[in-house]
Amino acid sequence: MSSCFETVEELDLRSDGSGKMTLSFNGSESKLKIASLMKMKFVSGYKVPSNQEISNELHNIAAYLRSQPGLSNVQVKQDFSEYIFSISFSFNDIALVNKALEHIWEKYNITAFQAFSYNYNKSAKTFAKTSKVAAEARRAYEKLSDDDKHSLRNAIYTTVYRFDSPIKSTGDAKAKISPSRKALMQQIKFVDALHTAALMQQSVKLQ
Amino acid sequence: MRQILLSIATLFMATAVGAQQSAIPAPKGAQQVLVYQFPEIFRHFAPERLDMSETANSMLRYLLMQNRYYDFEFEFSNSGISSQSPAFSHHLYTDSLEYSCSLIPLEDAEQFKKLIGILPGQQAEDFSGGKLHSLEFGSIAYIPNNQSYAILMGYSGSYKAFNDESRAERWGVSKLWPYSDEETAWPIEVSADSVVALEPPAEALIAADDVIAVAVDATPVEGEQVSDDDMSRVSVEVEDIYAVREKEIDSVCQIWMRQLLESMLKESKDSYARLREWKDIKFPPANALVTGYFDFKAQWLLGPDWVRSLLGVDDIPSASEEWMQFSLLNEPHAVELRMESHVAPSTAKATSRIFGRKLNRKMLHYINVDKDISVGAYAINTRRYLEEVPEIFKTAYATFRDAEEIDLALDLLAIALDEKAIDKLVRGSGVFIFSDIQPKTYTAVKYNWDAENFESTEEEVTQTTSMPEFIYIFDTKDAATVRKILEYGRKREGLSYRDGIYMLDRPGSMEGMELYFTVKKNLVFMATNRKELEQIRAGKRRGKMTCAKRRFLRKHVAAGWFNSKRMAEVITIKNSDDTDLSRIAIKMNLLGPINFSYDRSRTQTQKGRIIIHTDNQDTAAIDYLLHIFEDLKFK
Repeated sequence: MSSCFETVEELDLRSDGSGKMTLSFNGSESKLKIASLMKMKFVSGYKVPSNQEISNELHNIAAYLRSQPGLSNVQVKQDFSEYIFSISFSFNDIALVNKALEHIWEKYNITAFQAFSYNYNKSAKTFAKTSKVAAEARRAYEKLSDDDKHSLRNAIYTTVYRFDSPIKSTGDAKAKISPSRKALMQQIKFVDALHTAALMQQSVKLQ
Repeated sequence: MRQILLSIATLFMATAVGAQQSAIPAPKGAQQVLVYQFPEIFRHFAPERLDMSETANSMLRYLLMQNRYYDFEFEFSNSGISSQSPAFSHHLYTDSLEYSCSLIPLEDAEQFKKLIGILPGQQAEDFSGGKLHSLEFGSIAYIPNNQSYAILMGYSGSYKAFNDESRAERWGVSKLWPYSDEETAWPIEVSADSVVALEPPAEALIAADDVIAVAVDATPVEGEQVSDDDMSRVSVEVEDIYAVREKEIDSVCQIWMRQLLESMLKESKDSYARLREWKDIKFPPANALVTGYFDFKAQWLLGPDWVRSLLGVDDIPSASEEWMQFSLLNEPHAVELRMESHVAPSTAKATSRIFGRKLNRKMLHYINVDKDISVGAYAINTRRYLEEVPEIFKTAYATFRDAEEIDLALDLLAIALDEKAIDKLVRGSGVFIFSDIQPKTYTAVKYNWDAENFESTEEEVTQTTSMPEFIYIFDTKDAATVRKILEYGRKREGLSYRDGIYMLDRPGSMEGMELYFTVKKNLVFMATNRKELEQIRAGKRRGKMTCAKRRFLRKHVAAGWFNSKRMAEVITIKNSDDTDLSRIAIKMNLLGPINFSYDRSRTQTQKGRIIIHTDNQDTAAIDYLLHIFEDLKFK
């Protein structure tokens, strides 16, 4: 799948509820366009952050994650020549990830548009991701010019979940399961996810 | 003789009544007026054609304030709106509310009522010789008893209108925040009886924004317990309080709207009579389809609320002395967007001085009318510009909170600037040439996903994109200093140098776009293509100009053109793999040249024109252009 940008949500979950999470943004394929946008202060009424501002915010998020008990090994990667950014961290319990993400969603007012959280039941061996896409996100998208909408048409959202135990079943028939049945991948278009929140949901039953 | 006189009198009365019917009362002091010339529009479009056009349809929906109170499938042919008279949209910004007021000529009032959601038999209020209908979201529709027109009126900004406590008190609207900061631990203390009442004392009401804060942050005071029931009861109470306050505000806004409507009807001045109150207003020619008038004093021109509050601007008088007008005209084989602005005498004098130079002739040697896709040229007098700018800013900021500080800062700036030296460095003529579109390759990083475990690895891939190529030229009388600046850039490793041409060194993200500089014969060149500059340095003139184009560029303060057919040609030859661009090329090939110009005037009037030649003999130019425009939009 060719994209204008790709957002990746990777989660490695061990059976005891601990694991590692990585959130990445890859704008490399659109780097020429992003570079020219970065030269403007406002695009379609939205403020364009500078490289320094992006870097500061990434490090603010990292500092917050480092301050949270149960989260460790926080790493930030930023490449302004390719526009690839990622934050990764290890966690003792997935519930702590929810708490941290909730704080980040609220701080950057992302909750008004989109948010997700995880649920892992050790004894029942079930994993679920609940996601909401607020009407505001769709409204914001509809307000974009046709050109901007066109630019977003190939943006991809990729989720990868890896487990200790093999996957018994999943609620998403379109998700790919690895031959070892220990990993699951889902790739959806950003625009489709905006209009159908269910596409961002996931439920997995482990063996 | 008497019969003749009687006939004349009858004819005169009939004409007067007709004129009265077509004149729709307009509000006084609107800062934005749009005129939809339906007779001219429908001379070129069948109603059914407009119904099919997304652009025309959205303009008509705007007139009908469609997003405000109803959602429907709009068809002009079944709307009951008359196509024989113009319609108007007035926007009035007061210190309290923003009013939208649409004045619509009617052919079939019953059909129109149906269109805007007034049900048959629905109760209406008798109001100043007509009926007043309530619509959703507090808007109203007035239709006079002769049913010749409708006035739709709505408002916005009510949420901030009562931030002014004295106004709120005067109109009986409850206070925003009745509690002091020390009393905010109220969820446990406030009982339902003390806050929920249809006509509560003002002290018992709080604002909507605070509702959320209280509901979320309502934590019990140490040692006391709040049950879930208490919390949910409090949330409901707070919502009720908010609803009561909203009702109070809405009822005041309804009074204000009715007052505005009543004064409009009483004064009975139509839109043109209102516009004549603007200084030196001129009406556009008969072939104008849509005309917009904007008062420069309108607050919205300053941007959003936070900008206004930052500047300390609360109230701007609407003297209507400085304004801008635009008209969309249907010409034979062309569509013209004509803009005219009327500025204060001091601004007119300043702009007249600033634009007192002609385009540097030498630059014309580098413009090729056949090969270049687009050209834009301007000529200003840099020294006069630097002299005038502080004064222009002083006038503009005179009413602002920190006017004294701004005044001082601008005086200091004027002292610090050496106008003559800068004028030598940058004379003021400039030409921007959009010369080509070239496919460019660049490398990008893609993720490859391992099929076994979905681990990702990065892979470098080669991508192709279409990049515009341009040349920008400005003139100087101090080439030595320009070279000194470029040399400084080289020493600081921002620029590299080879054979008289400097190249901007950029990080990898700009590998598709390169930027080169050179200086030749007191002209400074900046281009994306090195070869172009090499040829210029070798003394090869890339230009080819016609007398007409030469005159056109030098006659106006700023002027240029866009060669649609050349654009189509360039895309077809060099960028045929780009499907989006190829689609644009097909449409561009159907258009003629697009010319634009701006003219200063020694009077207070400044004019701008954009003329799009449609290269078509059969259809009305506007209809032809609309087809192309709508086909070009990405679906």
